[in-house]
Amino acid sequence: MIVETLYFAALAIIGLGLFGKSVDKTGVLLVAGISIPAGIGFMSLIQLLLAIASVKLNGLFFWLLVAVLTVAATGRLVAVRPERKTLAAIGAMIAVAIVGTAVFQTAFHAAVLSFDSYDYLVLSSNLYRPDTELSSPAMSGFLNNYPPLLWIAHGPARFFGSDFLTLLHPLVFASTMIVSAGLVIFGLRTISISRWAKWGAAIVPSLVMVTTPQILHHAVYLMPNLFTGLLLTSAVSLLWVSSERDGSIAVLLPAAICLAGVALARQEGGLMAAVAMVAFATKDSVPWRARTAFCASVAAIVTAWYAIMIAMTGEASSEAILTPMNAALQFGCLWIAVAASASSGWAPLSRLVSIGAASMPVVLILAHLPFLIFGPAHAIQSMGTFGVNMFWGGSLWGVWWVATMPLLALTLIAPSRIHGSGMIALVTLTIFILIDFLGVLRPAPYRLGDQDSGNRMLIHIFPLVWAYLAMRIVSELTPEKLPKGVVSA
Amino acid sequence: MITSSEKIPNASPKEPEEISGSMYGAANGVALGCCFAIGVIILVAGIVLYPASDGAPGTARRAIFVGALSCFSALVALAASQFPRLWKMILPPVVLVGFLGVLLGGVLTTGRDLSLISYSKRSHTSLFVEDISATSPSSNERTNYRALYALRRRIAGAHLIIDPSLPLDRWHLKYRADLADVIAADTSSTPSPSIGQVIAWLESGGIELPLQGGKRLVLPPELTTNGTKISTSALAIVAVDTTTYALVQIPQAQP
Repeated sequence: MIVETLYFAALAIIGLGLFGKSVDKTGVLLVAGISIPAGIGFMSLIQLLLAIASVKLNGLFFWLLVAVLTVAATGRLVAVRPERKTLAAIGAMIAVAIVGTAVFQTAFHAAVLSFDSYDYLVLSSNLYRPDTELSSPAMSGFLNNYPPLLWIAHGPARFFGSDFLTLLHPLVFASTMIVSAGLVIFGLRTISISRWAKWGAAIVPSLVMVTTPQILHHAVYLMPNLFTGLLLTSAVSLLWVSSERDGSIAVLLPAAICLAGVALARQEGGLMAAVAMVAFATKDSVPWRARTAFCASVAAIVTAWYAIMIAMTGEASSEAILTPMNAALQFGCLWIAVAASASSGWAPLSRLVSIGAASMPVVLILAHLPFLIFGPAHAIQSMGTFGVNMFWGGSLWGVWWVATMPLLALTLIAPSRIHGSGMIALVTLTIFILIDFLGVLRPAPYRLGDQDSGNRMLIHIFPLVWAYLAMRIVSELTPEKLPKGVVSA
Repeated sequence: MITSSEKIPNASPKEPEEISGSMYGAANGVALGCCFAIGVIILVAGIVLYPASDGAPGTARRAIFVGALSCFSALVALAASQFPRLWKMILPPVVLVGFLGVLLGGVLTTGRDLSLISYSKRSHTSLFVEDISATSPSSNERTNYRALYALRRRIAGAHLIIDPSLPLDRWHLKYRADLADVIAADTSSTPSPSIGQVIAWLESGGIELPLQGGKRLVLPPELTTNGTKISTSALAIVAVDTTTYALVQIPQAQP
């Protein structure tokens, strides 16, 4: 456990190093929360690259790699000289998260593995096995169905003498709470309300998550859904930070790692990443070159993986999820997002890109129509099950999807006072409809229960939904805090 | 004297005064109408589903609750839109109390909902055969694969032959060939223990791994200790009777 704790501390430092000079501008909670998934994502990308190149690390070289990356990240932080107070607060927050998780796991040894978890673990245990390559049947047979991020992230468990990293999933849960709180604080930074109201709003997503059975389940369940939710929340938060006036485009590096992580954590992750990229393409406050470079880097990473994966697996089996056609659809969407970003630099097309981004939910709703006309039984069953799962006891959402409905009514009545928060609403709404559409599109409709794919995909947007609702409701309903001598007009 | 919208540092682009004058346009009315309609649909669905929801604890109640709450909040929001003072004075405590009520509901029902998952049936704390043996459900579609994978790790380096009657689905045969060097080979020449011997194995520390369809695979005591040196280079899974398979050591690998 101690070695694993040290490993995650090193990953957090690596993630922190990715922020560079934007550490001071992003906010303590956001940086602390995102450092962990960014570090895991960055380390996983390097390990994936090594796996593709058939480089097998042994324990010595693995730790050497971790040490070199940690030293490089520390060096970068020293070079940019962030405020000591900020750095100390971030360090303390990360330390509390990692040590707290380690204490929890030492006490409870909590882990849930299903048959899918097993396949992830078979892959991760094969990652550094000397006699197994990515292209060998023991691994390539899984690649169409099990995206790489999770099993790569668990790969180093071999060097700790265990089957999987026991801290990974609880730490992802802790980071999700920290990032959600940081997102709310960032959103409310320009709203003049009392500190109590601000911090009260910040803990709302955390309170919701610790009373949601599905999220608690995934805090110890070896599946990529909560990790995907954390990566998506992190990426969207950083894209928002970068687009604000006082933001910094330096955050685009960790944002790119996180968004690429979204695409590599789930089979449909490329589509979700594309949605976030299109929403970001409309942010005129970020130079279009920076936007395009960001989108292109994410698309290039994902396209490269899809190409290599298809080359290794060849003709996909009938059970495969990520067939060549599905992969092509996803990287097609990603490169369309890159094109949207690039064309937004030209004024006549900029407006068109904004309209296109705003119409994503409508387009997805309209995309349901052919299926409702030509295969109504399948479409209605899938959509109905998807909806019922949000309220059904066995789907493990407790009462929280129920509670979103009335709050949604309140957010509809008043225009947002939070500048730029529309991007979060657009991304979550689009992904919500996308999840529903995937059930209509795929051969088998969604099914009732917590393990249903569509039901688990709701985890990807759950933290974002509650962070958004908390900041919107509190900003609109809380009385303003006025400086002394100022009266309301 | 200054107003709140003039001099507050980092003031947001739209201040309350600005909002209160123009926030309740036709678009918001349509949005509220849609919200109200959705609320009614969910409410009616909940009432219709109520008698049939015995197997899904709380589902219909939740649907009725959310439908009623949506209709109520749409009406409150509509009223608040007509009386701006209501927005700032009545809604905040209503929303706060509502949130705390739902939070309490969440705290009270989380344990019950989590109990709907049977952790003991799904969970394995490791991939060791002992944990698989202790927790694996026999009805799962991948039970055999799980057991064989754990076994493969235990006997790493040795060849494994599997009796053709052991059910392995097509997917595993195609992609998981690394589980056994020879799958579906003829094991008729391999000596098979009697059911009495197998029971004796279990009594003296052998391990029973559950397989699909209520079947089982029994490992002899000498192969159940982690790190045991395998004395031969080949092992076979042979049929003992219609429901029991046994792992046996054979002198040399069969082709």
